Amino acid sequence: MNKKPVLMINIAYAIIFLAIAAFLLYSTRLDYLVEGRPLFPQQTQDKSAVYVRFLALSLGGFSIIMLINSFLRPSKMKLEAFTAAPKKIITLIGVLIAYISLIYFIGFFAASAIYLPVSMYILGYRNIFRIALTTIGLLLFVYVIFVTIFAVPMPEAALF
Amino acid sequence: MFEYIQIVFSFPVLLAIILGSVSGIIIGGMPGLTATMAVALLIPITFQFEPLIGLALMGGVYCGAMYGGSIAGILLATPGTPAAAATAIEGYPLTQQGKGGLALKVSVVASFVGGVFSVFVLLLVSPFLAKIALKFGPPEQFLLAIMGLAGIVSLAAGNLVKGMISGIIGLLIAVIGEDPITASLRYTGGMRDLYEGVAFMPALIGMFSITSMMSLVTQKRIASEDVDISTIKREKMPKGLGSYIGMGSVVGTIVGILPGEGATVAAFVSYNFAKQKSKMKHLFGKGNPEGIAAAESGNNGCVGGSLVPLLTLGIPGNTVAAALMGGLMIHGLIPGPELFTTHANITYPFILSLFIANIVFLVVGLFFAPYFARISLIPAQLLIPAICMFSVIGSYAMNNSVFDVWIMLLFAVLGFVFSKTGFSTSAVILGMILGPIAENGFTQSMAMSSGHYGIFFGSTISWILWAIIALLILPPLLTKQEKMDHSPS
Repeated sequence: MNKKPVLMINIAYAIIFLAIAAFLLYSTRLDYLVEGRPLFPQQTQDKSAVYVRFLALSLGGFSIIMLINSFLRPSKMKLEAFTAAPKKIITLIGVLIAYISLIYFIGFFAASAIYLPVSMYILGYRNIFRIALTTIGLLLFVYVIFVTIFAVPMPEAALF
Repeated sequence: MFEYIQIVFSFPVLLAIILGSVSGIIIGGMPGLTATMAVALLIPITFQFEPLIGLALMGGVYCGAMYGGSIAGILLATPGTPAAAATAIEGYPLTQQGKGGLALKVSVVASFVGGVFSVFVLLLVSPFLAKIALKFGPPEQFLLAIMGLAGIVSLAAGNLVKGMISGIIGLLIAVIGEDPITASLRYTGGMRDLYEGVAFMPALIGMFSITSMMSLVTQKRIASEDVDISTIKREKMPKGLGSYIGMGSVVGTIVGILPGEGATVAAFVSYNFAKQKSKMKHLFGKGNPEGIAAAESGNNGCVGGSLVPLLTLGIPGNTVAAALMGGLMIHGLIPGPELFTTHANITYPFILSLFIANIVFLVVGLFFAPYFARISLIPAQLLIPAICMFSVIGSYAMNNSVFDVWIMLLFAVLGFVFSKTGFSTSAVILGMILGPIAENGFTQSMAMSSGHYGIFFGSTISWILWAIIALLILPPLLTKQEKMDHSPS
């Protein structure tokens, strides 16, 4: 196993976390203004500002420890696990992004009627009859339980 | 008391309890439907019923939903309720090993014992306990949150530093939104959807459910081994769980009694205690029934616990109890001492009905567990899209916001990357749950003491809580240090 990528990942994490911690610390100062007003006004300086400062310092402190540990005690983590089937995972995320976008435009039921069979097919299921049956069954179930019985509002279409 | 038992065993009341419990299991098992929502919906419906029938129906829903949340958590890593998140941490790995039926069995038995214990406490000593609960001010609530956060040390199974960072990130995410003192907005980036903070349920669904589905894409189904119904039916409860169930029941009931604390906190605190006590610590996170036993008895222990301050003082212990309070008041039953005197013929049968509700879900759970477990055999290509769809509904339904669905997806990706690089998604979630309680407790205490930290050491309860926190943090820290000292590197 190549340990260098793991070290690089930890360094990248530490840089991001230290940057976040530095920003949070700075944001609790009275002279950090948002729309002309302090993000943490005077009356919060010994209350929530202290709380955020404590968390920021803890995040920074632990990030530095993580960085030192990465050099002193090389990780035993296997990077192979992270890269297993990346195409399938990226496809799943892509399909979900498309699904949620579609929900916004054409509403929940229409979007789901497209998403369910398409994603089942993309994931490798080839029995069209079962795909159709599962899709219809699931949508009916959701309609009866969520809409009819519990009157849970479903996302509506922005287009019509 | 015999007279009250007779009332409970009348046909309409029994029917209401059974209907309520079964509906509760279904509601609790589905992300997007909550016990609070169901009880709130029942209030106008039950107005036409006799007060006891209405209350028995709502109590049944409450008990059933608290158990039902664990079913989807165990089988699909999709906790039906936030309180089942701790159960999912241990339950889903068991399902992957083909032991979903066993996990469900442990869950239903633990839920039953926790529920029954808390109702006993409610029945016998509620006025006394309610007085103690009132002594829990902001400093004690802050310390209770810290006690829950001590669980991060346990949840950080592999890497303590990364676990701590994960927990801090969860706490920082919880800071987004309104300041508890001034109500000024923080870190919202001008986004209206973030004014009330990052919604917790979508984050939970994303990190637990969608992340699990991402890992499932490479497999044919959830269970690696076959699930045989008759084998599950014959399978006995693992030995030695009694003490974990007992501990969870006590912790859950106590946490339930405290106003503002909820079943989620109870489940995580019980889970944390169980991990400290266990001789099989290495199995936690990989499918340890002890964790399920503690978490489930903990969150069901909350049911009776949350009704103690509600019935005696009119202070609801959590949101479901608050909805239930609406149900009481619509029938003219004002919480307080009169409930136990003037309206005793309704209050005591209602408390007794909760016992039966627990028995109903025990029977339903034990009978159907083997059949539920077969979900783990559904082809992954069919299951993944279905679970993702329910996750979308669950994320949307809390605030009717598509923004929350995006939050779910964001946390899913974050959770996946985190889990693959050694960080703890459970610690992030724990931080998000306890963050608002910790910050509220801290800022209110600071306001009360004009900025003096001595307030956190000002009462006997505080000192007891500090001692428990030390007991929870130090042993695992020392164990981890020993392991590091003996590691070959």
